[in-house]
Amino acid sequence: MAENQESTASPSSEKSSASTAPGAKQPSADAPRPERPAGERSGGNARATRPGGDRRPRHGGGGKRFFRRRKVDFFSVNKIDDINYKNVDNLKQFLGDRGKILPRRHTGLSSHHQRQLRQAIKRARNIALLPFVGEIKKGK
Amino acid sequence: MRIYELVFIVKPDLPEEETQAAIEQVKTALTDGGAAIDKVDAWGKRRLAYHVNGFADGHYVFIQYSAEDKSSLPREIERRLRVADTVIKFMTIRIDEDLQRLEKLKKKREKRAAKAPQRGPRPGAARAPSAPVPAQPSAAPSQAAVS
Repeated sequence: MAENQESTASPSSEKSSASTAPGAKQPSADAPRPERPAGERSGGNARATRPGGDRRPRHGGGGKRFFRRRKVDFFSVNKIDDINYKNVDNLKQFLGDRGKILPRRHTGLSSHHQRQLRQAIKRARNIALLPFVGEIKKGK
Repeated sequence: MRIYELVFIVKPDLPEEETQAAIEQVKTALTDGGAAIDKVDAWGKRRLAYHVNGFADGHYVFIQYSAEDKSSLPREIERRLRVADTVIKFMTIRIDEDLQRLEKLKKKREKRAAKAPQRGPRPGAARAPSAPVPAQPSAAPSQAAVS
């Protein structure tokens, strides 16, 4: 997330400096921007110390130090072609505690499968097989 | 031809006959509308993930049917389910395109599976004749001869 911000921020700052006169005007144009990297850095530091920080694998400075299981696409590994809304037990593992659909960075699915999963979960929710909000029982 | 999946939930507090009658009603409505019923599956009483019209459970009924292209039947069926007070929730999904996609995937997979054994023995077969010719000499000369 932090990296994204950085990558979007830096080209825009370059652009702004290119469009306006380079040199004296640059600091004033970029005045709000240097704050962001600073904020990022402090965020990165906080992440390294924070216990939840190791959930984010690729991004962040602290991420590299931890070893974590490589994420695999559940549906390609198990050769499931059809991500179906009726297969509730299969879908449940891609929901958070509050019934939210987990993001791709968490599920490790290919974008194609994540899209199919999203569709299936929404269908299952519509027909009351899965909750829209609230706790879901994963043990079932 | 389009294939649809229809899932609807019948009120849980009805007597068994009325539940069956509700299912029959939908079925006859489908056949009268010119659809062919491919599959009927009563999932039975299930707990709902959230309350619907004050009910925590419901009888799930699953019907797969096929109707003509651009038929207004699915719309009509949904309209009827909406006014039927025995049905608390329903959903229709068109699945023929998904089925086609799955079929394609399956074929692709079979093709690959059929190809894979061919690919397996080929290097082995190429090596097998080359191996007996030099017999005792080490593998290095045979490889050099091949290359």
